[in-house]
Amino acid sequence: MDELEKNVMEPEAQPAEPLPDAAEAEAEIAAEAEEVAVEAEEIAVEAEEAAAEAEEAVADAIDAVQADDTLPTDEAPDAPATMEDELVQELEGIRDLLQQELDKAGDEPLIQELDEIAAEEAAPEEIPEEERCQCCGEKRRDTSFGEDYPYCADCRAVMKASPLRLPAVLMLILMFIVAGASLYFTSLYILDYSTLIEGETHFETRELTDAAALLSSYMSQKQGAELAGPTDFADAYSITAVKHLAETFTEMGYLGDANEILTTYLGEKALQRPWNKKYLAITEDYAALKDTSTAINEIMQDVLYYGVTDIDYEERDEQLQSLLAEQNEDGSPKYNAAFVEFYRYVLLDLQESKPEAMLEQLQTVQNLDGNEHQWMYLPTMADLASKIGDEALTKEYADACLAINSQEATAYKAMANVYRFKDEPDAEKILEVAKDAESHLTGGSIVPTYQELYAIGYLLQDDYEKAMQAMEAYMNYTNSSTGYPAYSVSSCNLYALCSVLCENQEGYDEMASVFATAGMEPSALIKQYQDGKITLTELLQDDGGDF
Amino acid sequence: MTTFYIFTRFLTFPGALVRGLWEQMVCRIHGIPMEDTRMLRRDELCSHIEHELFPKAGGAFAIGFVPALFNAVLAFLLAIGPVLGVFVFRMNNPIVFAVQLVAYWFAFSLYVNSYPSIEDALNMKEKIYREGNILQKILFTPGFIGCYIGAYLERWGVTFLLALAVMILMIVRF
Repeated sequence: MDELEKNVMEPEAQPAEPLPDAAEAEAEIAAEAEEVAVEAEEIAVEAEEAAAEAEEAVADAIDAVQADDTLPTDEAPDAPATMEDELVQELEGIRDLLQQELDKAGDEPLIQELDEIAAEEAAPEEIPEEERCQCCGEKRRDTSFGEDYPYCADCRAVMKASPLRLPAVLMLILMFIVAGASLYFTSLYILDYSTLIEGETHFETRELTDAAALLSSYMSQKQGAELAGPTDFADAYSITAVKHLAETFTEMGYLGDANEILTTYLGEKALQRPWNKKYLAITEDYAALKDTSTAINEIMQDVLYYGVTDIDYEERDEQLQSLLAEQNEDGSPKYNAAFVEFYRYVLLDLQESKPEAMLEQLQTVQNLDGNEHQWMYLPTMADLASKIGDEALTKEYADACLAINSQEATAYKAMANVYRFKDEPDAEKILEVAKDAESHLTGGSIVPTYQELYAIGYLLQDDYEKAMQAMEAYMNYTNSSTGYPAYSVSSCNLYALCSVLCENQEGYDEMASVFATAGMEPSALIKQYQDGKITLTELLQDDGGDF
Repeated sequence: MTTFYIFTRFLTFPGALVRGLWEQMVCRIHGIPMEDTRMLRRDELCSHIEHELFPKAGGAFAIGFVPALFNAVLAFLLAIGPVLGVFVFRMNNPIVFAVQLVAYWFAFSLYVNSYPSIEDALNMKEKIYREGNILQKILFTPGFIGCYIGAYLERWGVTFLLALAVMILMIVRF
């Protein structure tokens, strides 16, 4: 009953400060509630009175029953108590009936009204637009994540578990497949890459002799690779290696080899592509040189190939110069000017002209305009400058050579010769040059000419044992590609000289036998030295390059 | 600028898709609601997914750094073959050449799409340096610097231009 009252009285307990329309509605509801409350109070009073009467009647009845002696007592528990029980049950039944009637009579309208009020309260609340979830637009935003949080709890849960995008997943799988294929193909070329990286390193550090040897060897292994077809994945050659080998050969002056490798592996069609312009130029240069060479051969054939020396040098020189004047149809020079000028130098050499005159001739080559492969003549120029004894000029040409190819042995030899042919030979400087040369001339395919320089330096210091050791190292060298030693006239003579100085007759005899196989003998200078006609320094300064 | 940005994203859509996928995975692991999981869209969030900001320093760092790291690792795996086989040594085999070119395009696109959105980068900064502890500040700083700078570079399309420049350099160089 209390709860009932409480529920009914609640509207009165809530003070309202509503808007005008809402206030009227609320006042009506309050009035209705008040009426219902009054009715309920009346019914309650009636019910209380009825209940009190009923309780009183029941109590009287019980007293009457207890006063009756005929009824069984506690001393006789086995006596039947059905009368009392029946009476109590009857009275309780009356009370229930009264209660039911009471409920039926008084509560029905009240409950109905209360149900209506409860239904009104339970009806869906009208959520303002600004408080609705931005995702579903129906539920209230979940402000537990912040005052302005835009989504309801349900939408948030869905968004947290957004399914992974299928295209993205498929793309990731595809990437792994492609990565696997790419790495597989890469693994097929691991050995190639290793060789090529080594070749590339030599190329970058201007160790062109090593680069040429390595790349040539690689290309030899790959010969016929293009015939294997595209499905034989492992059998392919590197186009970069082809290009670098061609560049290497070109810079070393081997234009014929460069041309051959380009036309064989790149092909005429590829050479015409814009990005292969540089390599097309090499083949064009070679073609021009070939034409020049043919024209020069027509003039110099007897001298160059048959050793004829009884010629009119001036006439041959004029013939060579006439080649320079010839032009193509488009007005460009028909022949390679540097090549023609070089053969004019050859004529001077054949006449045993002074080094100054020969160097001057080669300097005209350097002064030519355009790319005439002038660098090809730098080693010869360094050698000529060393014979003149011009240290600065020799160094200039030698450095220019070494900037192109740090393994250009002629450049080191020229620098050593500057100090060797001085009035007072500088053995220390020669040994310095030898040490510098040793740091660059290290490849298996490179002749260790620095050992000759060491030997000369030690001989000038009268350290014959070390000189002998250096020459033994030289003579023990065999080319890693060909398997042949690198005997030369100068090296054999130096070895023979060291043998004499070290009193190693066996070594001298061995060299004598080597010379004998070529129909030659050791240098006569050694004999003169043994006879005491010349000193060791004079022997080593003898011009001619035998030592 | 946005047009150029979106153009570069579509040009490198494989990387954009994968970047978005990594972001989605990080969000799921951290229980962060994702409002829009489309990776290819015509606005500034192209290649990224739209998600709520991470409330903690660890998550804020992860959403920027983890996708970048995964993209970088995958890009590296994809780039080894093409760089050696196509750019450096040009192996003369058309099928291998084609596969390596596709691999390079994937690697290129992964790199171009490796950095976080500016929104994520700023949130990373906020969470690490205002709310993070000293250990997080120390550990996350190198990654944060890369992600923060990269986010702006990527937004201006500079990463695309850089990758393009590297590719051209390799073509010219080799």
